[in-house]
Amino acid sequence: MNGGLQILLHARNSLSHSLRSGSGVAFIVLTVMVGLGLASLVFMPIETEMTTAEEFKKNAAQAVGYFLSVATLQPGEFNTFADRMGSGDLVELAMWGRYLVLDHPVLLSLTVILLGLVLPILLQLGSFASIAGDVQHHSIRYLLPRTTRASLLLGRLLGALILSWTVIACLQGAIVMYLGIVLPLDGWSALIAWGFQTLGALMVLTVPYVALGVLCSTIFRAPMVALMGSVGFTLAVPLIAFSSRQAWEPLGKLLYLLPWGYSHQLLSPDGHVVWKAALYCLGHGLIFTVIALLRLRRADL
Amino acid sequence: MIDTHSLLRIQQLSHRFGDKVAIDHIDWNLDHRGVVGLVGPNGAGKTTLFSLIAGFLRVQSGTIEVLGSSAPGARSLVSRVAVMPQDAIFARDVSIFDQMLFLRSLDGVSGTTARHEVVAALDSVGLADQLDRSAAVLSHGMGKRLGVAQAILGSPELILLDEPTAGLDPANAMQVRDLIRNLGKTALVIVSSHNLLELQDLIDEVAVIVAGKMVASGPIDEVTGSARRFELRLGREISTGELQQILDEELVRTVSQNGIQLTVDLDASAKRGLDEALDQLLHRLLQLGVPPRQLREGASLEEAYLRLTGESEETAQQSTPSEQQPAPHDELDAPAGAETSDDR
Repeated sequence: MNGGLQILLHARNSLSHSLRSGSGVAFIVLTVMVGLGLASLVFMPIETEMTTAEEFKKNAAQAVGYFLSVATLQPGEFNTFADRMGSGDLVELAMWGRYLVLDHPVLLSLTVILLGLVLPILLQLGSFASIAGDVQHHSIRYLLPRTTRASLLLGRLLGALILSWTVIACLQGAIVMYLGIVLPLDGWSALIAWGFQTLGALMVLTVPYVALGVLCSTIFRAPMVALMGSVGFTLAVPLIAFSSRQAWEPLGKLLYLLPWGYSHQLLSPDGHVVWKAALYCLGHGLIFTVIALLRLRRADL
Repeated sequence: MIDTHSLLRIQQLSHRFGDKVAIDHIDWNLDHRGVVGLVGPNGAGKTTLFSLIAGFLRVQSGTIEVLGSSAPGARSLVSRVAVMPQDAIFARDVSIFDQMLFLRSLDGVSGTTARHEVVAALDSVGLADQLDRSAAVLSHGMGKRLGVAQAILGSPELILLDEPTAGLDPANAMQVRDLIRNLGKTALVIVSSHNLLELQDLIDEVAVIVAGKMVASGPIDEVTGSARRFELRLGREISTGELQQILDEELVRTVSQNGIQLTVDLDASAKRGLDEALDQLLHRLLQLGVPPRQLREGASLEEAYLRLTGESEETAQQSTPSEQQPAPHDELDAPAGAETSDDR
C-alpha cells in the first residue's frame, strides 16, 4: 500500500483515538482552560475597568518592551545598557513594541505572547503517548506487520499536529470572537487579520514542540516517562541557558536547542525575520522527526 | 546460496538481552506451506524467535530470510506476514470492529470488502456477535480469539501464532485448531504452544527449542523418532508383576499405570514398525486376561519433548526414592535407554 496513504490512515486513527483517550482529552481540556485563563488574565484590567484602554496600552508597551529586550538579549552582545542604547537596537525594539501594542489589537498580541510561553509545555500532553502508549502495551505489534515504522511515526506525528492545530485554532477563534463582541477596542477586520497572522505563528511554533513530544515517545517506553522527559527538557533548556550564561556566556546558546531563542521573532514586524523564524521552527521539527525516525527504526519493540 | 522457494530461512541466529542469551545460534529452514509447531519450556526463547522473525526485535547476529526478504519487517513484507503476539493488547476504548477495520485498511482494503472480510474473520473465531464491543470488556479467551482473527485478515503468506489456544474453552480451542489447519493449506503457519497433545494432531513439522538452542526440528515423525505413545483403558487395575511382564516385552519402552489407565511408549522401529509393537502389547494384555476396553494414540510429541528438553530426567532426579515406587501411580522403565514420563 502507498506509504503516504498509510501515513494519512495513521493520522486519522491517531486523531480519533485522541478524542477518546484520557491523554488526548486531558490535552484538549487543559489547553483550552489555560488558554482562556491567560486571555482572561490579560482582559481583566479593562473588563473590570481597573484601567482605561489608553493607560493599558501604555503599560502594555512597557511590558512588551521588557519582554522583547529579554528575549532578544544575546549573550556577549552588549556589556552595558548604554552600549545597547548606542547600537540603535532599542529603537528597533520600540518599533517592534509599537507594532504589537499600537498597530495591532493589543489584547490579542498579549494573549498570543503568553500562549507562546505556555504552549510548549501543553503541547507535550498531546504527543507524549504517540508511540510509547502502543509500545508499553505491545499493541504496536498488531500494527507492525501491516505498516512500516516510518509510516507509523509520521502518521502519529501528523495526527498530533492536526489535533494541536485544531485546538489552538478553536482557542484563537474563541478569543477573537470574545474580543470582537465584548471588548471592541479594535475593529473586526483588524482583529480577524491579526488573529489569522498570530494563529499562523502559533501553528508554526507547534511543529517543533509536537515533534519533540513524539521523539520522547520513541525514546521512552513508558508514556508517563516520555511526558516527564519532554516537559522536563522543554523547561530545563531555558532555565539552564539563563542561569548558566551568568557563569559562562556561551552556555546561553543552549537556548537554541529549542525554539525558545527565536520564537518571539514569529511576531516580528519584519516579514523576512518572520519567515526566517518559521523556517527555523520547521527545521527544528524536522531534526526532531529525523532523530525519532532513526530511533524507532532501531528500537526493539 | 539463496533458495528462492524458502519461506523462512534462519542461519546462525543469536540474540541477547543484556547478559542473557535468549537465542543461541539457531538454524531453521522451512520451505513448505503447512502448520509447524514451535515448542519448548518457558523462557526457552520461543517468543523471542517469533519477535525476531516478525521484525519486532532487531537481528543482532545471524540472518533471517522471510519470504525471500533478508530484512524482517521490511516494506516488501508488509501485509504478507501476520502475527498473533502473546502479550499484546488491543486499544481499550475502540470497538473491536473498528480496530479490525483499521488494520485491514492498512492493507489497502476498505469499504464494503473490508467490512465483509472483518466480519468473516471475527465469525471464524466466534466473535461475530461482539462487533461493537470494546476490547476492554472482552474476556481473556475472547481477546485471544480476537488476536487470531486479526492474524488471519487478508491473505498472509506467513502466520506466527504465539499460544493461540491458551486459555480457550474446549469448543473454541477446537474451532481455532480447525482454522489453523485450513490456514496451513495456503500459508506457512508457525504455532507456539505448550499443549503438545493438541499440537501433535495439528502440525506437520515441529521444532524444539531449549535454552535458546534448537535441539530438534523436522517432520513430526522424524522428531518423535520411533517412540509412539498409546493410552489404554483396561477392565481392571493390574498388579506390579503384570506391569513388569508388559514392560518385559521387547518393543515396550515404558509403561505407567494410573488406576485402569495405562500409558505405554512403544518402539516402532522394528521390522513391521508400529503394527509389530502393538501386536506384542495387545498379545501380552490378552494373555494377562485384561483386554483393553479403549485404545488411542497418545502424546508421542510429549514424550519426545520431555526427552529432548531433559525435563523428564530433571523430574526423576528431583523425586525422592519413595516417590519412585510404582504405586499408586505405577511406572516402570525398561532397564536401558528408556525414559520416565511421570511429569505429564
